[in-house]
Amino acid sequence: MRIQMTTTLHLWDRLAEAKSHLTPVQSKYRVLFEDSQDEPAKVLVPDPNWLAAALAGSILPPIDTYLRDRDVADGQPKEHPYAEPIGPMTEEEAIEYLIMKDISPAVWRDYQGNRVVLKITPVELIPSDRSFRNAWKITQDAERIAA
Amino acid sequence: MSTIIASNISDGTTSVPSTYVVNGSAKAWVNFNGTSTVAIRDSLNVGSITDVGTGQYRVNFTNAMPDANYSVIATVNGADTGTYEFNDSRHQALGVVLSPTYASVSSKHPAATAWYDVWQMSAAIFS
Repeated sequence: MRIQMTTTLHLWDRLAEAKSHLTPVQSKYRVLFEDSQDEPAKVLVPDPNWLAAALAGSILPPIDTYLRDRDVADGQPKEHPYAEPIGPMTEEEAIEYLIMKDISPAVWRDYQGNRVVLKITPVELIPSDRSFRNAWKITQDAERIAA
Repeated sequence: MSTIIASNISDGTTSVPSTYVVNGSAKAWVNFNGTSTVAIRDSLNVGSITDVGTGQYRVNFTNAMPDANYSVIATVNGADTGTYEFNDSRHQALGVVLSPTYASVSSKHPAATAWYDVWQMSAAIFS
């Protein structure tokens, strides 16, 4: 047996270590987005352990590595697990990071239409009544931000 | 932080390869509320979930899986009663799409064709 000191741990190890000592943080925000005309609006829900790691810093890799890894074939080595971690983010920066990581660029980067297809909204404005969940669309009323 | 590199783990009597521990550990897991305002209760290696529609959720990983050939074990609890319903007569948890960066998990009432929101969805990913 030997003990090896490492400078950059694998991302999974950093996440496991962070979970053992960081207090989870429930986000005040949700991200509403529409990536298909034929489907209801989707809601991105940040993970409290992930957000705690984002706010603490020195755990998550640069967002660029995730974007480059989109072009890496399955089974091939990815860049993001071994990338040097970035520093702490604010909650707003963390939400923007999450949008780029977990939502298709077709929504947040490439979309050129007039219809609003992405909104960051306080969690209390997301409807809690899910009776008509499959009919949700993002309101286009500029004065309102609720779904 | 230091890393212990060992080929085998022993309790003094029985020895197993350390790969048993690595390969047998969940690479990601999550427990979330799929009703009302959807929220994650606890997790490991999950960046977010996407509420796709009624009874349909996507678990987005922080550290992606090597490929889509992994296993998802998902269970549901349909109502806020504290009674677990493991694929019983009321609900089924069905993993429908696997990707290296996310796993889609859905809950369906076996007697109906529609997806069904659940109070508790738990999913563990083994790779």
